[in-house]
Amino acid sequence: MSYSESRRDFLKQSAVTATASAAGLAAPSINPVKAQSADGIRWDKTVCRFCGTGCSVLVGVKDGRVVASQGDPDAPVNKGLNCIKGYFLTKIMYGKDRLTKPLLRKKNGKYDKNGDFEEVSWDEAFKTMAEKWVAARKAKGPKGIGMFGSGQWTIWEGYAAQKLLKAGFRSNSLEPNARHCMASAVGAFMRAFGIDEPMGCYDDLEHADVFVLWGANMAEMHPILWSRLTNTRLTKPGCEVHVLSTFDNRNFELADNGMVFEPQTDLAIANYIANYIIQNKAYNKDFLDKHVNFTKTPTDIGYGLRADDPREKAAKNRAKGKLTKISFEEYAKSVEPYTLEYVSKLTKVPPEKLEKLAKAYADPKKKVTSYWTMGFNQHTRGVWVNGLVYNIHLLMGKIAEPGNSPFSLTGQPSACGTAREVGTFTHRLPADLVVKNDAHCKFAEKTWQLPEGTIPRADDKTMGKTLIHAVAMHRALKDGKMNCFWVMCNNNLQAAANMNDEGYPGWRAQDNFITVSDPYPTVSAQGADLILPTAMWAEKEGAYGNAERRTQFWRQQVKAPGESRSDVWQIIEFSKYVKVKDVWPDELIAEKPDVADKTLYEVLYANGQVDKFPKPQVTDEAGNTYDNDESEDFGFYVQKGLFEEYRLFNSAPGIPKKGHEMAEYDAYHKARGLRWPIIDGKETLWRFREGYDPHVKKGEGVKFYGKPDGRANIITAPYEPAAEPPDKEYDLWLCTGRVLEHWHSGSMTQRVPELHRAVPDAVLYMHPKDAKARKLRNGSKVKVSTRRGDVVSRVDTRGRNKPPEGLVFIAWFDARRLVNKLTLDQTDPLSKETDYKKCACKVEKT
Amino acid sequence: MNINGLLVHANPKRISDVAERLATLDGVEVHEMTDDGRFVVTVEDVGGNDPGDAVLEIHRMDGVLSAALVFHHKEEDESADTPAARD
Repeated sequence: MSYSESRRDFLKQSAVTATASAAGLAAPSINPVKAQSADGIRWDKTVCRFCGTGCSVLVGVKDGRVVASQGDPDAPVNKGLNCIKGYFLTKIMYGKDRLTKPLLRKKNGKYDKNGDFEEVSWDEAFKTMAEKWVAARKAKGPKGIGMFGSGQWTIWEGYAAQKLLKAGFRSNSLEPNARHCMASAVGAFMRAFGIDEPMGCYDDLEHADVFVLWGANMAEMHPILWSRLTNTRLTKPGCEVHVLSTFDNRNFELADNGMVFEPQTDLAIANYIANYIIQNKAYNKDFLDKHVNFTKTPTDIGYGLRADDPREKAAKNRAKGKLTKISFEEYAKSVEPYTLEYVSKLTKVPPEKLEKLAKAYADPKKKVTSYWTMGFNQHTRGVWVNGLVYNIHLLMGKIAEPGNSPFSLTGQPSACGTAREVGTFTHRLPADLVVKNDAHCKFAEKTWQLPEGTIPRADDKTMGKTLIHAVAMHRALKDGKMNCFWVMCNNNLQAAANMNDEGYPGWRAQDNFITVSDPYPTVSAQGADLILPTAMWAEKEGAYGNAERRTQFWRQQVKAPGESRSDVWQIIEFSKYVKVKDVWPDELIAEKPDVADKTLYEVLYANGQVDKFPKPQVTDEAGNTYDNDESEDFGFYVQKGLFEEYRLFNSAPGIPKKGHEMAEYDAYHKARGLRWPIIDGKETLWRFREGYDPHVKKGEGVKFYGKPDGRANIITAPYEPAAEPPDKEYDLWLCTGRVLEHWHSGSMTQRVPELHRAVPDAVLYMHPKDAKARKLRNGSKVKVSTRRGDVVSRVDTRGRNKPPEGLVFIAWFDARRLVNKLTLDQTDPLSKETDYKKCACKVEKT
Repeated sequence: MNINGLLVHANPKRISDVAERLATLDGVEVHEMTDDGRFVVTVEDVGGNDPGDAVLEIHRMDGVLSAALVFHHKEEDESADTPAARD
């Protein structure tokens, strides 16, 4: 046997042993990385760049390049597993069209909106940008400028942006793309529990007896969690899986009870289950008496469209959400109309299936975990429907303990860690503090060592109303109210709804200056005026927070190509180009006169707090060393300084809201992530329950301490119809979403040859009868149109998604088929999150 | 050289279908399977196939519930005639 043959045999045996061990069929094997033992490879942990699961991935670096990767066997999240996208993860950095220089639209040597992209220096890029930003801030006020960040930002990138916008530019025009994916979940957490993020954790995947998927295609979007769930279903006696969706998808293969329901009627299904529990007196009376308040929410609240839309004019309580206390009897009465007969007819789900689901929730002996993602969040009643599932869990007391867990899954790697926990939304501040609360603003100003009144109040004495959400930003750009927009770490021109009427016109309006920071020339980059090349993922030191409250760090593994720079570098460097007196009024400067001539950099980052840790030589436990390009450039430990200042919001004595405590910076470089709240160095797996959560005292049992009285809210809300149901002309429901092989807009995965080969185009999934009625066959080329635009695609009647009659599904990753030309910019009026799942379309042969 | 260990979960009612389909793929070998649907599979670059494509195909296969990588190893084969392409 030659050397290479014997090496192949050895590696293959290692592969078998590791896999058998992961399957639970063999004793834990040796670390696969050690089995590989190739010379000169430096291995270190990172966090996957894609979804919100937060898998730890080991990467091997040789000669300054990532040459190998491997699911991390020591990681509690993925236990050595890696999904298909994760398999190709490291290739995302090596696409052939990486951007390496700033590019500015120019004509005759200077910036011109109608010019062609020319390479410029960072200095010219930021000088041009600063001039535009200062002018727009002066002319149009705090809403004249805006930044659209990301749930893929690292924690410190979000934190640096929060300071730049809210304290530096004194503008609340900061939003993350997480507004499109998580805002409804946040709204429901705050209303029901007064504190954001799930009470349970991924350990519930092994503890539960029953899993219910409400509008979550876990098999494709969270494959590693799905693998854990599948393993539990196949190996645990009596385990059952219920799947609800508006079309048959990959999850139905495992389902014991698969239910395809009419869009929007999930509201009625949840209310039917609550009614079933009450009618059968299955509820946990003791739990309700001690831990729950009953409330109702205003109804007929509109659809978040522009104010002149007839549907908004018709709404009685447009965007209203103030809760009113009611009695248990009133609550019971409110769900009484949701009988099995009525709900089965409305939803088109057979009654025996609905009853089977209700029985699973109502059985006191079964531990139930519910999962949901975009089916619930991208919903014009998203906050309501999230809440209706909490109602069921609260009625039964099946919450905040192993296996009993209502769990909102996240789509982005740091939608929780960055967008939500750092609060990079227009209305939020770090650690669940909000701009609407004057005391919270004052606390932030004190922490940042800035004068009172620096942060614009929601309803500001001099500036008026200052909050502006993501969808409203595109409208403001189109209407000329916002003139500067910085899109970072996302692809919002492709991702936002109603591109033809609301997105594109504002981006290309003559007076608007659009900056896009991205590693690749995405649709958004091409629609911008200034493109900034970005160092991504393992090209910088980073931190993400996943869906189970786990904060995870990684070190910079390799250098970024050309002149590309990380988002945190770009934010901090840009702040050097703006002076305090350019953007603060005289009255505020009078409170702190020495800052007038200082730059925003000196006030926000070189403030004695963020810059207090010296430039590090980053070294791991084995003695390997790593670069840290940002710290090298600014001369202090940038990431640590930002994180430790951020910790003053969630972990210092006297903070306004407890429950988000985090560990010191260095602890995270050692651990495979830690789940907050972290008290005395110990993480918390289940919140609100004695014995698991240190914030719940002995004898209290359960305490929902996010609320002043320690009680959670059951919030009744009815079924209300969707904004744009099919009619005679536009006769099909259009649902948009994702596929396993591509992540979001495909800006990374479309550049991985294998993934692109596997799924090159977005196809239109359709029922064979709907196809036949239109004289179409599998593979027919079609035009899909709505009242807003059209795209051309091909029909797929036999694929992995099988819609019922009357509904079609298409993924939005495909930059050549811009699916958001079709969608309506409707939002949940409470969360302001877009509903991408329901509008009316027609399909014709081309 | 490109060697992968793949943990496949299959619908227990369709184990034999899945085993049959896996056997038709180049470079794919089943080392262990259980009645409840767990498969220990390796995927290698033999006969000019691309293991990445094979892994994607397994994931799409009818009857497969989940496919997760547990082990992947890729190295340039120094004895190969053609210069190793690293993208």
